[in-house]
Amino acid sequence: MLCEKCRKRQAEVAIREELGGGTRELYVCCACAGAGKPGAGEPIEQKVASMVELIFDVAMGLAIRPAEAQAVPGDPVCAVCGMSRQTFRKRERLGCEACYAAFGRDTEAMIRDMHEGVRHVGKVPAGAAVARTQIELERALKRAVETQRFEEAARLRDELAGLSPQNAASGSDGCREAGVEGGGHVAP
Amino acid sequence: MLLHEPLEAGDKRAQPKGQPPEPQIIVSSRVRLARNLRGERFPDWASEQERVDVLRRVGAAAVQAAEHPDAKVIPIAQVDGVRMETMLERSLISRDLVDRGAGAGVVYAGVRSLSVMINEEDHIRIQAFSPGLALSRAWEIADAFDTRLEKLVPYAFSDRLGYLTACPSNIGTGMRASVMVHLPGLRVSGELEAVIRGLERLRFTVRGIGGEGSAASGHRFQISNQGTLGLEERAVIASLERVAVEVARHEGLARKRALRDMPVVVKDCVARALAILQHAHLIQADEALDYLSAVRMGVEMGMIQDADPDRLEMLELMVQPGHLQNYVKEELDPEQRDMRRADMLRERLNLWTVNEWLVRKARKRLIVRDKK
Repeated sequence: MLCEKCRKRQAEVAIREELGGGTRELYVCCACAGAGKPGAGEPIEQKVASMVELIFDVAMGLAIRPAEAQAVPGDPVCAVCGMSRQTFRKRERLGCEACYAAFGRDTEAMIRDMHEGVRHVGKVPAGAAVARTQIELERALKRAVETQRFEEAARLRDELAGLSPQNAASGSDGCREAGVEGGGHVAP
Repeated sequence: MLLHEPLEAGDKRAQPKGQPPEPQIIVSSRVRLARNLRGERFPDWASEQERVDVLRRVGAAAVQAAEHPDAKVIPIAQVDGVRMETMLERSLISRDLVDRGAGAGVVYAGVRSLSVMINEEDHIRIQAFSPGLALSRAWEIADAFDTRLEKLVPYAFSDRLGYLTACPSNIGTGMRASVMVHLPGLRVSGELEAVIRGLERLRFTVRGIGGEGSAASGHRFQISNQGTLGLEERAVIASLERVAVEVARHEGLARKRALRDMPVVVKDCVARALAILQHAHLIQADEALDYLSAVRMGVEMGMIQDADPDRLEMLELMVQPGHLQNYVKEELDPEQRDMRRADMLRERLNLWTVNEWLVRKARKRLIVRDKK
């Protein structure tokens, strides 16, 4: 994977960085690891970026099953499926849909590397389309109220009311999916 | 020789007098959609029981969505060796699916143009096929099936990231569109590498026919879209179609140039390939496919007398291990296969000849057309 600081060179070293009250672990290239003042970026693991180890990692990663996965203290874990960030980094495959939120920072970086776009366009499943319309209408309604366009607000409110029979079922989906996007919320 | 005439009569009708068959450079089109169930762990990370449950759920839904009386779920564990090989050779299933344990399955939708793999890398992989350049057609088949299936099982979907998949490389549309192209001319002219590099710069992936990591046997390549996020399905398909047409045009030009500038090399390549196929007693599938590729180029240039493109197409399938064993209706070990394959090729190709007069005619046709 790419260095998490410069995003240009291959990451080779894991460092721990003080951030606010806690620490976070970063995978960076040698240049970025050395750039920090002594103590700020402390190499804790020298990764030999040889093909052999890579292949070995992949093989090991694939062999790990949830029950066998050992949680490393401080290693974030997807609350829904139990996949740890370490395991995800090794396999480069996610455990479930909620992992996109749980490992948001990593997945976002991968997505930027892999795709030209950052936002989905194209087919939307029927259920999600209703949820999407509802979210859009709610946003538009809020904007209309804020800018005191009350006639438009009334029209939007009626439209939203018209959607409501399905809202009970699909509305919750909308919220959950919004959570997946936001990166903060993990579905229970 | 007269005794063989009635058998060969059909072949002659297939090829109009004096005109070589339309070159089949774009062999086939495929559209694959990756989908996952909402609230279920992705297959790699799920327990065996979870995978078996997903197979049951998705299998039943896919059979219903197929809307065909013959549609059925086939657990991979229940497929015998020869049938498995045949399905692999037709790309109805992937090697990855075969290597997976309990829960892996395929839904036979009752038609050859559609298959659904269950519990491969993702819960659901819908594949639609169409011969020639027909990506839009393949997309319509896959899309229609997907629309019926989404009503029966809930998909993992996010407004921003689209269909959520086990590997982030497939998110968004989850769609991988591909065309299989036959490029012996570019190979002979030495331009193949440049064309592949050009395609990769345009963000298309080029692979051998077996998909990921496979070599290109028979000079066949698969060109597919790289990104799946941020571009609509129709737009991806339109750009891949344009690219495929352009590659086919280059291949056509390369063949003409080769015939104009180095007729002896082309003639040698085609005649030598044909001679080996007509005289070998042991031949492996990849080797046979390479020679059939050269023979196909010769047929499409109009250099081979008595050639029938339909027979060629049939042989290209039948030389593969699964199809061969299906054809002879017995299970064979590799050496027996090499023998039976060679027998079949000798028998089916024994009357084909590279004709000097036809080669000259093909060159003349080309040069006259160039002057116009």
